[in-house]
Amino acid sequence: MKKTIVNDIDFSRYNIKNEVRYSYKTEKGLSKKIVEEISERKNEPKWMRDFRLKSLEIYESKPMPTWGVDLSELDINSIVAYLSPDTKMKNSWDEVPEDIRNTFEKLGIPEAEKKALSGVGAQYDSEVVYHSIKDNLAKQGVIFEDMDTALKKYPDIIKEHFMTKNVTPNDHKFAALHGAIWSGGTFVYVPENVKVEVPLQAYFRMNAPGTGQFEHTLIIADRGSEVRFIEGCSAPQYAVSNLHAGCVELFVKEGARLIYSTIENWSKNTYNLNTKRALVDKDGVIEWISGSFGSHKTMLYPCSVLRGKGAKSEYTGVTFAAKGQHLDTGSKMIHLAPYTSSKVLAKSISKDGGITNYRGLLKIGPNAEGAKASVQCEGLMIDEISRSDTMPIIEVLNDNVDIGHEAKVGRISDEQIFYLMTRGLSEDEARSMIVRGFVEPVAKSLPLEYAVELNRLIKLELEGTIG
Amino acid sequence: MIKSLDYNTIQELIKSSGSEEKELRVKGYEVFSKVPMPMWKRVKLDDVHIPYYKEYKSAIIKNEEQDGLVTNLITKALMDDDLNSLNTALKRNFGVDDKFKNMVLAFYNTGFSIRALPNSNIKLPIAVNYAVNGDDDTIIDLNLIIAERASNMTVMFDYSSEKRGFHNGLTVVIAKDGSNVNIVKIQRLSDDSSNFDNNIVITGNDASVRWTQVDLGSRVDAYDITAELEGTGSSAYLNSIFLGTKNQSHDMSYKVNHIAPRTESNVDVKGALKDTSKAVFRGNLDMKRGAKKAKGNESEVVLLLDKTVRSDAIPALWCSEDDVQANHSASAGQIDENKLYYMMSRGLSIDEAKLLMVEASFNPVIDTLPSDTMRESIRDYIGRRISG
Repeated sequence: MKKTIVNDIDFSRYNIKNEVRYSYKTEKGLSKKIVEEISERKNEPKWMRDFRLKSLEIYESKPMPTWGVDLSELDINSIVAYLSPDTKMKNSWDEVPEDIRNTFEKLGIPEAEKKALSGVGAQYDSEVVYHSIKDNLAKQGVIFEDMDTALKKYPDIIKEHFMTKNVTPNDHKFAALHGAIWSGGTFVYVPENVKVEVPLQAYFRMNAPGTGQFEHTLIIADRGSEVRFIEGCSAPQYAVSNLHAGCVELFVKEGARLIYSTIENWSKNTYNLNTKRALVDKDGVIEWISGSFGSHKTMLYPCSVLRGKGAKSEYTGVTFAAKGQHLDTGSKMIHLAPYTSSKVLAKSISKDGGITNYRGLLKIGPNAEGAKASVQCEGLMIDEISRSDTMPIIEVLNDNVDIGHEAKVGRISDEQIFYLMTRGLSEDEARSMIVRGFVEPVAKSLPLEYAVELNRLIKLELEGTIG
Repeated sequence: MIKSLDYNTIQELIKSSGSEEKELRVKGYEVFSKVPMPMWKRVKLDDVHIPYYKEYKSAIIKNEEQDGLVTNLITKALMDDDLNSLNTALKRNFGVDDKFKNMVLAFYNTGFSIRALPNSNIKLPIAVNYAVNGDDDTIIDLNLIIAERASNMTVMFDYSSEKRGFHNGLTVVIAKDGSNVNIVKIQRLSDDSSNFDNNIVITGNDASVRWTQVDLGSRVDAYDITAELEGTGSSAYLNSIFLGTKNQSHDMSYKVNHIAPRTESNVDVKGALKDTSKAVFRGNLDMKRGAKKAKGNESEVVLLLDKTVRSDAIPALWCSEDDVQANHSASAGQIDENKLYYMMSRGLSIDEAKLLMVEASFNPVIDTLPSDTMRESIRDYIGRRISG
């Protein structure tokens, strides 16, 4: 039996390193002094500084998680918490320094904007360097700001929502770390019944070696509104480990609909330990679309708390692990209210000794009468040295439910190949077609720029496919 | 005199026993005394107490005198062969918890060694009954079942009680090349009893093991069945039914390790939960590297009969070999309302209708039990539990 060989994703596009220039940089490691410095430089209100210090205390009191991926090589003390590029906020793309602009242009952000994305916030290291939003959206009352600006312009909303009732520093060690040294990120507010027709987009990127990125995303979709948010993440490759411990808090109010798409393509020395959670009210809808391709190790489990009657959540994810990667991804669906429904479709591909693990939680609370949930996991193994594991947890505390979980792991079957070959395809083409079909549910749900990026990544893998 | 599970008791137990038994008990005690009592997240052990050591003399074995069959009461004498087989099995990772597993090795007070000789065909099912009987309320059984090359046999274990008892057991099944083994375990201890059971199956080339688990009793119940498919072309089929009523907690673990090529497994668990009962299903299907062309399936279906039940499932799938087929599924739900209404419109009460649905789900497993009286008595028992 011939083996399928799928090439590594070509990371050269992302491996654009710039000379590191910074106007301010904290010392390595983590201490009260550093946290105070960050807060002071950002000129933050006292409550935020207190919050950071309290988070630091919680961080120090919590042990490292012992489950999931092996974190023993992660040395927080060698990672610089905060690094600010020596540019101030710019309103026009042309004002951004040339090397930074080049990097983003190679990644295709301005083109994306030309394709009528409604607003682009690109985070380069810790500060947002470029930000714009179309006038008509601003007129509708849509707020699309970087987090630091939002903290100054809308302190009340931020104070009410920032890591208070969604993700809190008490949740786990890396949430606490995030609370202490978060920097940058995006704030979106969509007013009642406003439908944002084109997606909002933010692109995160790490440039300097050994830095952490701790951006905070807060989105409030008010009653009856509709919005789509896209984030993409990448970092060039450096020898020192990078750490990404972002936090995403989503509020989906009554009848609102929020689509949150992510393509993660961190370099293969990044630890991606991210926390994402959505609180969904009555008849609200949250849709997660998640593609995990990069990073050395990932632990990422977007969580949907369905707390309003009839709330809905959908998670569609694809994870691709190649050599040296251990990607532990999944989803959490927590049904707390009657007639809530959730659907998970998780696909994973592993090759060259890569490890993928689907880890999920499906919880049906005692009040979730008539809840419906389905989980479907599919693993595709390209060779015999890789691993594909599935670890779902299902907890049901109510009898009036309809839930199902299914998983399967396998490889491309000879029958499928032979059938396609009898229809005139070459063996290569047949394999490509099957892999493409395998990830299609994810590819088709991505919009614009990101569908292009995902397709590019998938194609790069498939072009090298030989029988 | 009260004997705690301590070193003095071990000394007393091995005073007049052979070197094999000494070795086993002392080694078991070493681990037992070091490991703390586990704290479980899903099934709480608050109601479980570590018992005193007691003798147990009520074990009954039936159909033990057949051609090609050798059986021994394990407490009478532990043979050299038995110890070797046990040691082979004990190298593996299996069981509910190290504490409970080693409690059996150190303090077993009953158990049988059952061996089918090569090429023998043991026609009648061998029945082993462990009942709580008067003062005999502590059952710590060590069972060793060895099917030699190309033999066939069926062994049925029945654990029962009317009053509070404690059961913690360890069963090793070694199915050598080309053998066929059927194991049935029935657990219907009383509602205030504790039940722990550690089981391991090891298969040789082309050996096949069918395991039927009927799990109905006890307040706290935790068992593990681990199958090590080591022989090429060997298979394990684990079928189980469970019923949770009142405040019962069942923690059921099934592990299948596909080690050799062309191995096949199927774990099929059907259950029903009523009142405030709770069940945890843990399935671990592990396709090891080298298990080419292996096929593994795992499924759990639970009927939820009351709002106050709790059902957890963790059907994990581990895969490090690409040339395999592995599936798992789990589902839970209440009985289809339309079906219930239909049956009620035909004159059944709601309880009768529910019972019928549960029976329909359980019957395929109950039908495979090896004796008529057993089938009847299980159906009766389930009927009483659901209507009562």
